[in-house]
Amino acid sequence: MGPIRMARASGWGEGLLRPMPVAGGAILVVVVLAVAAFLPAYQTELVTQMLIYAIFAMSLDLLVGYTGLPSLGHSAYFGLAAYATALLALKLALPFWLAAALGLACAVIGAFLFNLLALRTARAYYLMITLALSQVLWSLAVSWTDVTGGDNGLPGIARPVLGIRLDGAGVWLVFVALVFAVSTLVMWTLVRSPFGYALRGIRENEERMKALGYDVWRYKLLVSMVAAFFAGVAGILFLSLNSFVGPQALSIALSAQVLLMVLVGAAGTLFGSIFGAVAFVLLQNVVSSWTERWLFVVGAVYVLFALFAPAGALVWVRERLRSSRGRSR
Amino acid sequence: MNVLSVRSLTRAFGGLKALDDVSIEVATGERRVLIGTNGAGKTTLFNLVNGQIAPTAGSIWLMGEDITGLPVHERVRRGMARTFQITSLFGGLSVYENMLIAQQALSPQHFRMTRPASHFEATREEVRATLEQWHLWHLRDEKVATLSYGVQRQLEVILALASKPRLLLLDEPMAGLSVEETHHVTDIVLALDRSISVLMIEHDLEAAFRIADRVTALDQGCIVADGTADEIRNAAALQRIYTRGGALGGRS
Repeated sequence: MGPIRMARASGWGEGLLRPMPVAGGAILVVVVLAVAAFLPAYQTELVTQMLIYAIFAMSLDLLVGYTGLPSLGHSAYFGLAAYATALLALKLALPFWLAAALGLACAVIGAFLFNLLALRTARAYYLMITLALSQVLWSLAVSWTDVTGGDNGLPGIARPVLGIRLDGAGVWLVFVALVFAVSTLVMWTLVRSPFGYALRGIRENEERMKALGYDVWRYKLLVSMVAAFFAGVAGILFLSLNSFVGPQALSIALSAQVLLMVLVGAAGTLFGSIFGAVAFVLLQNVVSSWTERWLFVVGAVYVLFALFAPAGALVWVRERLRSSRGRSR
Repeated sequence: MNVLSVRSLTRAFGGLKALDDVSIEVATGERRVLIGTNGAGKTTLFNLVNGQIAPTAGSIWLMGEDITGLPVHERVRRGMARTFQITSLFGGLSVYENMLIAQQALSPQHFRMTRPASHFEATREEVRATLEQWHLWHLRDEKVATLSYGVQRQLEVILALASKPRLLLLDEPMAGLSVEETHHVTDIVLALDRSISVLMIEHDLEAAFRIADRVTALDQGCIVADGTADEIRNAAALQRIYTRGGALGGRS
């Protein structure tokens, strides 16, 4: 029995050649090229924003959906990487790529230090402590005006050069799409790896994992650092998109928004987070152009999801497809 | 050689001594069954041996090594496995995934994140072979939470065996099973290779006496009787405990 057939027979495999991811990749390429070529800068930047938030949401899904760690402080890594990159580029005049690499290192080291403390707790307590830790960073960004610019943030970050200048909205979208594709592939491989299965085991039954010989704490620490890395990638892309970083990048509002993206899309599915991010950006930007009460609409949509698709959009669609297939048989 | 030596183990919860100066040894290949009424200290002893809780006094030795201060996963890596009184599986995952997680636990690839698990041929084959051996292959895609209780108990024992332990701790494996299922799980325990020593808590005395090479009876945190199945069946101390709490000789 070949590897792909075997994977299907066992019901757990997701071979690289499965039709859905291939179709998803093809759609991404077509959409990105079409948007970059034909749409004006504003719409192009909206699609760029969707991809950046999708990376951010998928990174949180590694914690929330796969490991069962409900974080409400994920913006800490997003903002930490963005602030560190901006500070190093502006104050020390480091080249962008070096500043970005060091910014990512800051996010990962930050996750390591945060979680030395946070992983002493679980469930709601973990949620509270991640919230508290991220609020510490947020208040630092607001109050340490000399360094962070306070509420005004740090403007004036030039977009990087990668052989060609990445200034135009279309070129920047293509670059972000490439980073998105690589990030998705890496996270997708991770969740299907032995490490990824161990994370699922931890989510389901931590005591049983220990009794099987898993060092649960090490897994949680490592996945927190991986998640922080990708949140940092998203933060740096966001910084470059806006040429600016402010306290909003470290705020509880951003942490809550990304958590909603994961939950609406379907936690523990990775790709559901992409849907969540797209839906969020659409709701935020499109609905706000129709009505001033756009937050009301966004809230109503979340309530509808909580009532009718509590497991998230992707799971809802999957269940509908399964039941319609069952009926047609 | 003793696989397990428990020396003068005491565990107090506040002023209450759940276990009081208990010493017990399990020889290589031995099947030792712990019996006693509820609250006798059997599960406390298991949790101490397994490392879930720390002792107030005393020490625990596994194959000649003092493991008293080691965390649970380190004890498992040294050859100890356990099942739980209340079924403890990965309910939201399939039977295959449960087995996969158990099988890869002690393999060198368990920390790998750069290749899909499906690419590790040897583990995949091991999972398949194990599930076929225990006649569970046809259930491989079923979510564990949807399985019957009897199958779940069976799977719990199989997961514990995946780490190829030298010492297997079975915490009431027959609890809640029908007579037929009890016979089935008893047969599984009896069929275990003698390279695996077994320390088992069991309330079903009929099954306990059938499996045990030696039986240790606990009462109120202390050992009150220890001997072969025949010796214990007639021990006065045991008669006293069980006439206080129920009948002797069958299901208690």
